[in-house]
Amino acid sequence: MEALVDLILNSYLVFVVLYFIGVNLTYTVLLAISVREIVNHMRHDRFSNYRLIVQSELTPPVSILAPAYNEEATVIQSVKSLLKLGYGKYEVVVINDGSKDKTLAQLTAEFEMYRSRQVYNPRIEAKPVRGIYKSRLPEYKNLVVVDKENGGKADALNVGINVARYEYVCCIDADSILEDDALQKVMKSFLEDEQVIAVGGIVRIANGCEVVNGRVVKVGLSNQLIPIFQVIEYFRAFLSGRMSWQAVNGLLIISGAFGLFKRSAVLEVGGYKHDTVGEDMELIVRLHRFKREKRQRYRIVFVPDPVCWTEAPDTVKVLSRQRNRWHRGLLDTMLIHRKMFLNPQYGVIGMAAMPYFVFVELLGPVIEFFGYLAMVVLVIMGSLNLQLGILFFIVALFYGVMYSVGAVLLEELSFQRYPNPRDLAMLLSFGVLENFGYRQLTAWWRVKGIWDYFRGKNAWGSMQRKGFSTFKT
Amino acid sequence: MDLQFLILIVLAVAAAIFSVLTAIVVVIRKTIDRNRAKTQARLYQFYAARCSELLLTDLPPLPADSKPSSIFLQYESLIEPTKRSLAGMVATRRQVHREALQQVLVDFAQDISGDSSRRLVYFFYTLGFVDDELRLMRSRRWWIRANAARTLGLLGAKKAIAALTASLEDPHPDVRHQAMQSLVKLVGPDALRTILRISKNLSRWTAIELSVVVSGFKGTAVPFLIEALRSRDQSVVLFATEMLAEIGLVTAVEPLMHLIRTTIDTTIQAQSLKTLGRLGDERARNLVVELLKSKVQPVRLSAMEALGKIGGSEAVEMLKPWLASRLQEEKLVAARALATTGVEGIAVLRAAGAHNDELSAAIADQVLEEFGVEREEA
Amino acid sequence: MPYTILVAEDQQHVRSLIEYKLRNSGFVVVAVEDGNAALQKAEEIIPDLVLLDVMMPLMTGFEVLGALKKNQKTKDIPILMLTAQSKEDEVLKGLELGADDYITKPFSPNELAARVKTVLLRRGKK
Repeated sequence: MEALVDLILNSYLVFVVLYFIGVNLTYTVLLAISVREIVNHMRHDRFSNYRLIVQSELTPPVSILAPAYNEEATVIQSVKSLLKLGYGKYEVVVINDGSKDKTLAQLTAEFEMYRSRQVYNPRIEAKPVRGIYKSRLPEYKNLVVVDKENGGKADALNVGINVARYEYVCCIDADSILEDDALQKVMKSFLEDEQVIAVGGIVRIANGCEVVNGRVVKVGLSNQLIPIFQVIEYFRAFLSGRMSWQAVNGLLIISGAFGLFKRSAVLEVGGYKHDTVGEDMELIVRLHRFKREKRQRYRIVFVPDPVCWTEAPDTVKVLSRQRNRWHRGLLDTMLIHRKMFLNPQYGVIGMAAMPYFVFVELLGPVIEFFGYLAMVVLVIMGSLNLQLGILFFIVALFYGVMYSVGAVLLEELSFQRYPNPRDLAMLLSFGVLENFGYRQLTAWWRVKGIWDYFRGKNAWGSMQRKGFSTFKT
Repeated sequence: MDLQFLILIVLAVAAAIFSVLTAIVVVIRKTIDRNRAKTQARLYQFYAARCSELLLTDLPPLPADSKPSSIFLQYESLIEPTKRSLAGMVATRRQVHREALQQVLVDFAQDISGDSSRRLVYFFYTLGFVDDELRLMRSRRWWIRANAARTLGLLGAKKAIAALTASLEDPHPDVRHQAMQSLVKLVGPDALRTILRISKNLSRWTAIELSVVVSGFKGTAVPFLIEALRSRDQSVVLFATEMLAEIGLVTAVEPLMHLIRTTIDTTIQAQSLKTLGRLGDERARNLVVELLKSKVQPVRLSAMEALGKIGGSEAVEMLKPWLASRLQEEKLVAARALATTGVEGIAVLRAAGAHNDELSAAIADQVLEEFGVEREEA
Repeated sequence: MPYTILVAEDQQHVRSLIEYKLRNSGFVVVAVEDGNAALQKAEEIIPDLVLLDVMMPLMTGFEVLGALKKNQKTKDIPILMLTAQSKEDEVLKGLELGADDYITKPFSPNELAARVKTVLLRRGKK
């Protein structure tokens, strides 16, 4: 019996080593593609005069959709900074998702809003709208507030898409801090290629940055540990992961914190799905699916420009809930669209992007977790080749570090938003440190996410917003 | 077992070496960059002050009978000390200084006009910046060509017109864009003719870049835009149509009507109708009314919009039935068009509740609000 | 006593050009790089004229203009705006907010000096 367990566990470890080598090869390819893409993007970007997009009469107008649920502490500040973006014509649509606090009252009082007689005739089904409000003040005439019954973020965005006047809709989180030129940067992709239906940009972590009047004015690192780990993670995910997938039109996710879409394309597929926890990813996969099934030419693009900053969880508790939710969202999306998985009809999505997400992103933590478990059992049984185990761990460590270094390198090749060399050194050392504990912890949360999913616990992990203490008017 | 060990060790060593080297390079590069940025800022400040002086020093008036070129001799005497100090530097240092100087001069070229800007152009030639950039226009790397094309425009180098015109057909779009922009800067509105004739498949981005330039030219651009209406390239025609609307000269009315009658491209028809609306010329009314019956929805909608802007009692009568259309979008466009016709159309909207279905009445109501008109007559 | 002019302009080269020109025309020039510094200086030295660039980071020229007009101490100082291109709405906005005159980029340094003198003369008469 013991021999059998020993054999099974040891062969599992061999499998883990092989899996590990496969994953690392994939990462290396992705990193290489990203370096090429970013260098090209930067060269191209030097010749883009974004000022023209603000000046030209031909610039297409945009509707910014900002859902708000119990945001009374920050909503006025957020809306004011949204109204000051550098762009031509645009409107800001705030969707009050049945807040229980004074979010709506704050808005109507501050911006002197009246109940508009605008006709609401939904193209996408969503929770009923109680009223549409507009401002009496001429300087806020591009502000629309929609009051609706509570239905979650996806439902709120669907209402926003219904109300939006313009062909381009920008979906953001209530607490997204946009860069002044965010719309210009992402809009350019639509303008350069008519086939583009959606564009995402880089979301960055605002913890540790100085925020004044709803703008990040000084970039820096937080003095807490948890946010710094996430900065490195975001670098890897955005600069290396998304940048390389978009090169082959295989981008499967545009962050819910910032995404710009062609309204007609979103309407065509019926808007956001409101009964999943990963509505942002699910929409992108559905767009791919629809276009591929219709055999239409299209592109979903990612621009590496930093467009948006967001407050990251700074406690283990909130972070664990967030990761748990993300993983359930990923799993749900993959299950909803399992028909596409390894299906050649869906081209690069079915044959490359989805398998990557399933085998690397989704199952990776599970395989890793059971690897640790197997090791522990073998140590107890006294039959682990300890030398080999330690050596393997060292290899894994170095590879982990390598990708973190690679991600920092990408940032340095491109935007160099962290002006202080000390911050960079700090990020690099956190790339090493994360392998002792943080990495294992996130793997565990994700495994737990899968477990919770199958136990049918789909509740949202809510995040407590603190608001920015440095907000000044 | 030994093989396994070996593989793992090799992997570990490779990853470790890569990480450590990259990390060191990244941090060192950052530090160097920072120092270089400081040097550049210092040099920039130095040359900004020096150039302010060069550009603003009052020159003694030239005698009336002097040769036209004597002014250049005066300019040369201004820049001479700078040239001498540059010549005295070692090559690498000179390069850094030349870059800073060029940057300062280019920045000035964008912000100042008048006599000082003529001095600038002279400095560019005499310091050899123009010839440097012309050489770079032949580089095999597109980003270097694009940069040279841009810089030549900023330098105001008329000598580069031929090279830039040739670059309108460069394989890389960024080089074409920069060449376009620079040509417009150097030649003025006349450059449009060449650009619109040579260009194919203008992206919206290119259109936006050009639009800002064309808006600046106003009326002088109109003949070239009208000429471009005959282009075989859809994107060029659409661009010309849109810009004619922005500039708003009624000389475009007849050519546009001719275009609408002769083209089979409904996208162009719809866009030209919108432009006719913006021009608001009565001559177009009959044609617009005719196209209200088009089978293509975008054409119909543009016709409604245009008719609203041209206005008149006839327009109100023609638009009224569309308020009862089955499609919400058509109702909305018709209602907005009615509102733009003025008092008569607004009266129709106010009365909409009495004759129409609920949705039409609601839409009429919404449009009244949009136009800031009361629901009842005061 | 010569007039004191406060110049708020973020671009180094334009700032040094204006400084040079106005100094040569016999003014005392105080130049700052951003809106906040402009507000502080304005309150401190009460210049005879403020020259404001519209396009500045962090705080636009309009915001500075608004703040100057709100402050009792600085509200009577004449203001000249420097706007990018001939954007009509920008010019109108500046004049509405209480600017005395404007100059559009690209500008001629001689014209700039002339405008400064006119604004000062006009104010001097009142």
